[in-house]
Amino acid sequence: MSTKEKSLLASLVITLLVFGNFFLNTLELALADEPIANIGTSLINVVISVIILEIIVQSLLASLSSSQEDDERDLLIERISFRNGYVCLSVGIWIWIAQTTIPIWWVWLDGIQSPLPEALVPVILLLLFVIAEVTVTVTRLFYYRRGF
Amino acid sequence: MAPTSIKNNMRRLRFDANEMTQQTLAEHVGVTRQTIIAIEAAKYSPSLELAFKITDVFSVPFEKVFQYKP
Repeated sequence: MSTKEKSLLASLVITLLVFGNFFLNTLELALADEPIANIGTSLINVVISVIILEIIVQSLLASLSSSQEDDERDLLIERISFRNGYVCLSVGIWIWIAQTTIPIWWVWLDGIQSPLPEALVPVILLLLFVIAEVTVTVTRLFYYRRGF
Repeated sequence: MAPTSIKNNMRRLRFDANEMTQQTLAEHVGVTRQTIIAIEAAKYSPSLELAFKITDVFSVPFEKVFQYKP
């Protein structure tokens, strides 16, 4: 496994662990109809945690192995991965726009007026970004492992 | 990932060139060793520029290194 793959794998694990834990906790609160307090502080905490963990892990990986500059294959894989991430983000944003601007759809679907509490809006937006980021990382890992 | 239609004799040519390593070839043409591995396994088609650089390293005609086999 190359340094780049290790770095990507580390990023993926950190993202899934930290954000996954945050989203699961928030989902539990939302499903239990409990008030979601201090969502802004939690959001900032989770983002800062990811940044700190990434800095530590990536610095360790960089110190353990020699760095390699990106070549044409790396750039191609990166371009394809970002395109996939963009598609995920676009689909998510369109679904979100649809559910906020056309609430009648949800009334037709299961008889509820507003499926998304306002406090959850930033969480949903963050979720979309995280899904896009995970898609980018998984796509890159896939092409590095399977060959491109 | 499906193999590409560009086949190559890089492994053979490396062997003939004093058993040149993939890392050495990679350094000569300015890419990573992983890219050389992917090209040799016909999993990645190099750009025209990279293909010419590889050909230059072995000092053989282009078609001796790469062949198009659809």
